[in-house]
Amino acid sequence: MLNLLRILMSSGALCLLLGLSPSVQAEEWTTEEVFARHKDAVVQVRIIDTQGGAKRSIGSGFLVSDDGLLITNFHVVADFVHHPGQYRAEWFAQQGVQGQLELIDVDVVHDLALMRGPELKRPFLAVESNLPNMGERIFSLGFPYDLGLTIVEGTFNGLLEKSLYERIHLTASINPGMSGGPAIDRFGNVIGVNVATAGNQVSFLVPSKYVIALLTRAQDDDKDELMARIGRQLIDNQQQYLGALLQAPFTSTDLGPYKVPAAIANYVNCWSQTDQANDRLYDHTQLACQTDDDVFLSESLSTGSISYTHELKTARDIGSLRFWSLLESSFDHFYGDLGGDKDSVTNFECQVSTVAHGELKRKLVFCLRAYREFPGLYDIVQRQVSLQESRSALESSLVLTGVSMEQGVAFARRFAESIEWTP
Amino acid sequence: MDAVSTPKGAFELLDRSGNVLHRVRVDKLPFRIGRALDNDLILDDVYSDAYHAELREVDGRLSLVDAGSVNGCYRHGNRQREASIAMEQRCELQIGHTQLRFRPQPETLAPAVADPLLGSRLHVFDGFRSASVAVILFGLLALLAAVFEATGTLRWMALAGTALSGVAVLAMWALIWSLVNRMVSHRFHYLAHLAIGGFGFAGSMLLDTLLGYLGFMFGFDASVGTLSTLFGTVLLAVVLYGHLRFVSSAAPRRLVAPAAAAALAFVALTELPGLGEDDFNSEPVASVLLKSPALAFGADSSESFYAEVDGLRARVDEARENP
Repeated sequence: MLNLLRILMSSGALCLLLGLSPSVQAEEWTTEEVFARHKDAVVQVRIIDTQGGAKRSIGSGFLVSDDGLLITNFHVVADFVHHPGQYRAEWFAQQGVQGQLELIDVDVVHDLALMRGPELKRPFLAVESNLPNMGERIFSLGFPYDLGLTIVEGTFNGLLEKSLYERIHLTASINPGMSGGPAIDRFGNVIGVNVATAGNQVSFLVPSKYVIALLTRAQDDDKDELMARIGRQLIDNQQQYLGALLQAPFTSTDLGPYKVPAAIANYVNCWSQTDQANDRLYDHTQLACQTDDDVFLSESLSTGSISYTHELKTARDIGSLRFWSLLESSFDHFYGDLGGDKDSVTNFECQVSTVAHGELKRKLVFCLRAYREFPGLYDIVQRQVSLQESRSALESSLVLTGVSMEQGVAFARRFAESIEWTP
Repeated sequence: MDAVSTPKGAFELLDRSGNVLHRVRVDKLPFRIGRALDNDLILDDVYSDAYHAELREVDGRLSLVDAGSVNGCYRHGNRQREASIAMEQRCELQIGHTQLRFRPQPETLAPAVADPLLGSRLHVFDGFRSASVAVILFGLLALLAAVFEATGTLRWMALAGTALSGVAVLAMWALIWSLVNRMVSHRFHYLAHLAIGGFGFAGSMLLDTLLGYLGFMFGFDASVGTLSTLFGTVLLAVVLYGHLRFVSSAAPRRLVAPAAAAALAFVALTELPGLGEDDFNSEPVASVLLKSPALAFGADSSESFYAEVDGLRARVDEARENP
């Protein structure tokens, strides 16, 4: 915090952002007051297709300085970031006022973008990095479904406990088009940025400390090209969480005669299911774990997630030959769509081998693809089938998205090796 | 009538493909040709005259002399109308729309062609026993394949249906070859084609199964597809050669190249479209063999497996830089 203040005070505009003065805290705002005082600081962000001349996507944004700096979500402006020639970004306000937006910086991991509108001279909001109390009233502003500026009232429900990427849980109806809009506490300060919803009033905000970090960083003389910066953010991000995971042994659980990695972190969510339907040829127990959130890169590609599945299959009335023949034919179509397109990722290349580690012999498949825009960033799909018993097998698959080669391979290897045969 | 008459030659009436429809020996001269019933060769052709032409000796040479016909006489392939055509050698003629060939006597005939199938071991296939063995073998393999592909409880009627539809394809295959055989060499070796096709189909199934098991045992999963195509092409060439032996009367050696070329062409046509496209796939595609663990000989260490991953990295990095 000290560090932050030091940098913030060096800039006249940003100094006001924190808005921590006790006099402001004394007075509680009503919903009407929040709307009336902040309506001019919130604008609609439109990504315009330059060929077609009409909007490609819309979101919201809010001003954070008197010189036209605006915060919105990265996912609102992602098309503009990836294809700056094909799209342009514009802001729109009430009474038909509008102007161009340029991109200053992004925090792709926390889904934030910092823009500047040269003609965007409007009131701006103060950003508060301290979190409200549980149950406090929060107001969210934005343009849901292109319906005009709307204020939504809700309650603060703390930070998500099981989340790889920090998010505030807000109980309020945040709808498409409100992304990038500010969430305001009862003293009129921004405490988060609207980012996502799970429906039924379950909504999520990016904590405002990341807004402050982004504003602070934007002051640095960073000469890196934008894509290189995004790439570095992604690399740093995976370095952080995979590094932490690799520090300690994986939490494991028993699945039949095997020991498998289970919920290896609090943000990894596991579900299990046993299928013993009568018409099946084998019993089937599944343990599926994944991080519930990821990093949005584009409409077709998300990254920065971990997911893995273990399936124990035990032949029921069929012999070994038929059992393995079924495993072989079902093995081909299981991977699922990992998203992306020709311009964002390469095709997968795979390596297959029989590998023995510890007591367990297994067929191991390791597949890799590279991100075209971000050198050094890869997706890894690893699958293995135990070759231990003639009428029973453990199939495990691991999907790591947006990892460096070093971290990814280390993690995949640790994962494979922590699957053990313990009859 | 002479007790022994030396023929001057013979006319052969040809169809459009050059096959002989009818043959008339020329025993006397002049020999008259036309539509009228008192000709020596009666033509059923509205473009010929009642008395169109006659064969007789002109200056000691056997000639076809036009009898002042409306449409005239021509050498085959020649548009020049000729009043008299010398008939010293074998030649083809056109009268009206009728094609004729004249064969003078005496003529030198090529020696008889040896039947390439006579005494050939291929006759093993041309019988009821071979055909039934092949069909039953293929049917059983098709049934077995259906059993292994079934993802639920076995329903034997449905499985038998699948196997029988395979056998039906085989029967059609053999029928097509037999018809070709009938057209080309006027013989109908249905059983032989059934046997060759049946053993071929069965062989290709056994080949893939064998390759799958060997690939699993010795760990060459990734190469099984290529090997299967390679050996499959050879097998197809052998099968085509077998079919061609029954169809064609050419010397066996001359059939090897066409069989190989046809097999290569077939494989090229089926494989090339796939090779040409560099379609984006958001899923990994890997050929992975899974068989009973008892057959898994040998294994790599985890260490060496992950050391090789650098090779993959080089490949995807190259793909990244050269889109």
